Amino acid sequence: MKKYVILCIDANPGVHRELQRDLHRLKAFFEFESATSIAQARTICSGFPGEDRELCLVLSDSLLPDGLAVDYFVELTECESTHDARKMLLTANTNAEELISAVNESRLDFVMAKPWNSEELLATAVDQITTYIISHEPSFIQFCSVLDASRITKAYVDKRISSYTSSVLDFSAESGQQIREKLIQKLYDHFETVPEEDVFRHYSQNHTMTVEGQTNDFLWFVAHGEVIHEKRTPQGTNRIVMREGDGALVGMMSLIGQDKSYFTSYTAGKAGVIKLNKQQLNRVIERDSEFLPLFTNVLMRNLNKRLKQSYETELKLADTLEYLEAAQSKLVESEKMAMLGQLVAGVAHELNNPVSAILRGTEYLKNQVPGLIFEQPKHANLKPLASQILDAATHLPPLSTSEIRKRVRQISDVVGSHGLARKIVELQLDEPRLFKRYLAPLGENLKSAVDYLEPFFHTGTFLRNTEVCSERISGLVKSLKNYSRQDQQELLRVDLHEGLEDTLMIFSNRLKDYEVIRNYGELPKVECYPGEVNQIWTNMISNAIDATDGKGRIIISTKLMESAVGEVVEVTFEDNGPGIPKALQQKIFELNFTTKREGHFGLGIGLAVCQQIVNRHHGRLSVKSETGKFTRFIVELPVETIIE
Amino acid sequence: MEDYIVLCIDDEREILDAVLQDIDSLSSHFILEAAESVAEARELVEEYSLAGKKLALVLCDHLMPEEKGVDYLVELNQNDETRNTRKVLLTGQAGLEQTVDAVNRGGLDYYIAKPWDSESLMQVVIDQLTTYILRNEENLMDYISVLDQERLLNAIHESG
Repeated sequence: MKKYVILCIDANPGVHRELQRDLHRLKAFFEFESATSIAQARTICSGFPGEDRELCLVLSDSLLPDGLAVDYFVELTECESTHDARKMLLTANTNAEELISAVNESRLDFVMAKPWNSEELLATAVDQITTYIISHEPSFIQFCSVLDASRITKAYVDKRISSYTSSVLDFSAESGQQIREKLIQKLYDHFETVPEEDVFRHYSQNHTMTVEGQTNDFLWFVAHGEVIHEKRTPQGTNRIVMREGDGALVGMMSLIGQDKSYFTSYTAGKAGVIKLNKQQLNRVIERDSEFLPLFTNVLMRNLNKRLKQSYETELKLADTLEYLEAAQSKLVESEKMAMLGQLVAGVAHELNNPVSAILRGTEYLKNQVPGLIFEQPKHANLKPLASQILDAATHLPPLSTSEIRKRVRQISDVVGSHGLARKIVELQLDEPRLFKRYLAPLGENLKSAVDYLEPFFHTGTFLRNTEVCSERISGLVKSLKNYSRQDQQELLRVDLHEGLEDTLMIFSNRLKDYEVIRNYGELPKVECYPGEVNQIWTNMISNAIDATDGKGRIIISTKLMESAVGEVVEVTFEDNGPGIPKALQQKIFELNFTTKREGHFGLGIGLAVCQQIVNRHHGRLSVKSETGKFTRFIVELPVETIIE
Repeated sequence: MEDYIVLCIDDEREILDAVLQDIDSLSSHFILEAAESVAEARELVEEYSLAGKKLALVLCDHLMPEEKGVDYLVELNQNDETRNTRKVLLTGQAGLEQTVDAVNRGGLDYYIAKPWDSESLMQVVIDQLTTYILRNEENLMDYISVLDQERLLNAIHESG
């Protein structure tokens, strides 16, 4: 073992003795050397490297017979073997200049005045030597009894901690597999020297170690074999979350968390494991200082692996979710398009009649108006009557066809011709007082007068029809515009009745044989996505039409209700169709459930889509039905929607 | 004259007005009638039938509330008195299924799609009425002024 030397240089041997006496306590651990000159000191020190001796402290008088101590100190500092030796100056008359040069040039460590205080000297020497030993002696802990115990202990702890830290954090040094193998090997070694029962176990396939949700007091080190970790799904089935091979740790999560087991873990095949309870684990940690850093390392690696895996799973889930959302929105879009396509066809049909009437009417007017304006009237005296007839036809609703027929019958015998009688009735001159006043006096000229008056009547009629038809077209166009405008994806406050009416208007072509009863209550404006809500109405009405096979009664009711979550609007659609059997009432909300035949509206996902829309609005969609009597769909929407 | 009826059926009053106006030139020789529903048409035809008037031509819409046009055409075709009636659909919305039904069971003679133009409508009506008159009326001369002169004259010439 290396010896540490304390060198004392002073021309006066008496000083040597004094120093040896004062530092007596250090004698058991350190060797003392004395020199009376620099030359002698040089000779002593030059032998150290070959003798496995090392200079740890020099105590020197400042002025020596063959030179200054400071110069010798510089010499020591420049030599490798004595470079770090602590240097103390013992001097009777302290010269500032000399001192500064000693500090600057020779890294002087301490100056002590002569004569010195014994205790102070010892304390200073101990302090200096401690500094040297801590940084130069690897097993400095053995100097604890003679040197500064507290500094040495602290240095020791620091050193240990730093060695732990470096070994725990240094993942790159060895592969995970190597470290796991090392750990397992350590456990084998440990339990060979300190045998404990039942630590080494051999498991067959499907041996359960931990059960999810149950307490666990063990930790398994899997020496060889594969383990499976499972987690329960909300549906109550178990799903494999992870498989791990040699070196796996089981029971880690519950051990760290002091909690119930996170996984159900069992062996995938034959496996050799080391099963420890907490006490056994603690004992291993206490006995083998190298075990804890290894164990910590493996633990962190395992956790890291699981963490990574869970992030990857989350990413995969996010991808899948995105894909599903895209697929679903495509499906919803196609349903909307299928529905829209048929609605458009219906609306086109609905536009056909008024457009036809307007086209025919304008053609008539084009031909007749110039005559009415420019031609010389054949019956100038009838001009005021003509003007009255034009005015009445323009503003009053026409006689019904059956009324006309009835009145034609009454006068056709008098007039002689059905055609003429019909025209007179249309002009409403068949009324006895008028007939007597205007037509009876005409005699032979009756037909000519009616021919003169007729264009005034038709002109008025066509003007009126054009107006009526244009209004109908404009109503349809307005509904269409509302219906499509509200397809914008933004949250608005809307009057639900307007959306219902627009939807009914678009369906008017298919509702010809329906009695549509509206039981509308007073409703506040409702916050919603209007386009989506119209899609609900569209589906509800289309379902009612399909269920009743084109003919029947539809009752639409709305009312405002108070509920636990605030005001709720309830909209119900009731049809008098065959009803839905109890067994099917929940199935109808499933995707792709359909009872409809080809050629009907939609793709058969209408109710599923409605359900989603209603859910998104935090509402409710339910059905009540009695076979053979009615089906009633109930849509509940909160007035104030919380939409995320 | 005025022994034959031309009947137009449509639930929309504006359409009836327009059609009757388009064929108004026939009013000198035919009874032009309008009905706003199949029920009204049925009643009207029965009444005229009692008075000895025959239904020569029906211009019928299909999609109306209650009874549908094609069903009425089928009914007319199954009735001896109206089997010979010329049957024309004037509609924008009879599907393929209904149209096939009208042809096969309703004895449909012509299909006019809405919107129509007055000349074509008139052409069809004259053509159909000429056919009807040729088959059902002996005194063809009376109709020379309003129907298809060429076909009527040919027929008169052939019968000698």
